Amino acid sequence: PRPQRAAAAAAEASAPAERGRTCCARMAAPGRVPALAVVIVGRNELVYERRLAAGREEQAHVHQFVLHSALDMVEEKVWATTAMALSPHVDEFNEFQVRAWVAADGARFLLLHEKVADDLAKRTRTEDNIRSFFEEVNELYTKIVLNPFYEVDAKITSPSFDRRVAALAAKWGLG
Amino acid sequence: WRAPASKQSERSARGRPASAAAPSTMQNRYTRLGETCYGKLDKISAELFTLTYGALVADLVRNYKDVDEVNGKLEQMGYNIGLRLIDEFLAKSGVPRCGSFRESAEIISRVGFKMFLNVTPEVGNWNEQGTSCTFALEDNPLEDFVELPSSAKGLKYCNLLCGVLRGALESVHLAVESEIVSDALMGDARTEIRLTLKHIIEDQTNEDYHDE
Repeated sequence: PRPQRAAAAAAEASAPAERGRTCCARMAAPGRVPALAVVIVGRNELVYERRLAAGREEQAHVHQFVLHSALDMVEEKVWATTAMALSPHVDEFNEFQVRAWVAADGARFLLLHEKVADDLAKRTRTEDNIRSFFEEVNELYTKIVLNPFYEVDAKITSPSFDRRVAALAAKWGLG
Repeated sequence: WRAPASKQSERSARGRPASAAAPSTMQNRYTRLGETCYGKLDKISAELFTLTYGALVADLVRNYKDVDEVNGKLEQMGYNIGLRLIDEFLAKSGVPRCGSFRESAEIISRVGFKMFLNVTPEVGNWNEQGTSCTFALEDNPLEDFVELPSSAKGLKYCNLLCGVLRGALESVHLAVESEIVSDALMGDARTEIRLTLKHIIEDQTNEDYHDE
């Protein structure tokens, strides 16, 4: 059990009732995945993060904990496969699932979402949607990295990148 | 232009002046020449070129905090490149002497830019005397994937090209001024360089030379 997990559990325990209510309100429409946040981690630093539609501001710290603790799992799984998409999900915590994609330069894209119903067709569709989302974010990320003025591990501050990621999330039914 | 003597140049010097030729045939001729020359030259990867230039500019920006100084350095580097590039250009293309600055501009665009960058900028916006025009690049190979950071406002990313034009033309006795008037990186639709002919450089004899 990782220390972050314990801290996350403690943080969650403080607001269980509210969580129950909001969970029901966020019932996923067919094909939609209730995605909470997407994060890009470079070599050593967090380079980009964005709260997606289903994510709540007050739960942001919980999401951060879960995503960061998932990085250890990504590290393990990365050596098991040569594909860029690590499937299925990389880590699970209560009702959260974390999906990961490793870019060509080693940067990791992480997506945090709530578990969808355990129906095989739905799960495969979710996985496909998320993989497509990651592929397109990979295109955008590559263009950022090719910019000569972009320093390694610097924060991605381009507003057009931000807008495009949000548009892609909406396109693939995330959040 | 001091082009190597050839039948073509003798003909054009003797017969009708170049400006009397229909513009489209002259342009077609140079377009074809440009394509032939481009085909003959060794190629390098365009991405390698773009990334190398990008690294160069990024490095300059990091070292010289003042953007105007970086612009000046890029122009100076371009000037040095141009002084040497003109020999390569004349040797590989064998263009004849030009009859007018208009012809020079067409050659620069259709043969020069084509040979070295594989783009043909549109020549336009001529002034009345025919001594100033703009070269408009719809897609600029130097600027692929580049986004200027806010700390580099006013950076003329393609200033190297301006220097190349100035250096190359100075070697063939045309004193010009070239500057970037619009840049895709600064939000304009495309990159435009304005080239203005200042004067023709006369041969200067050394002061120590005395006529005997």
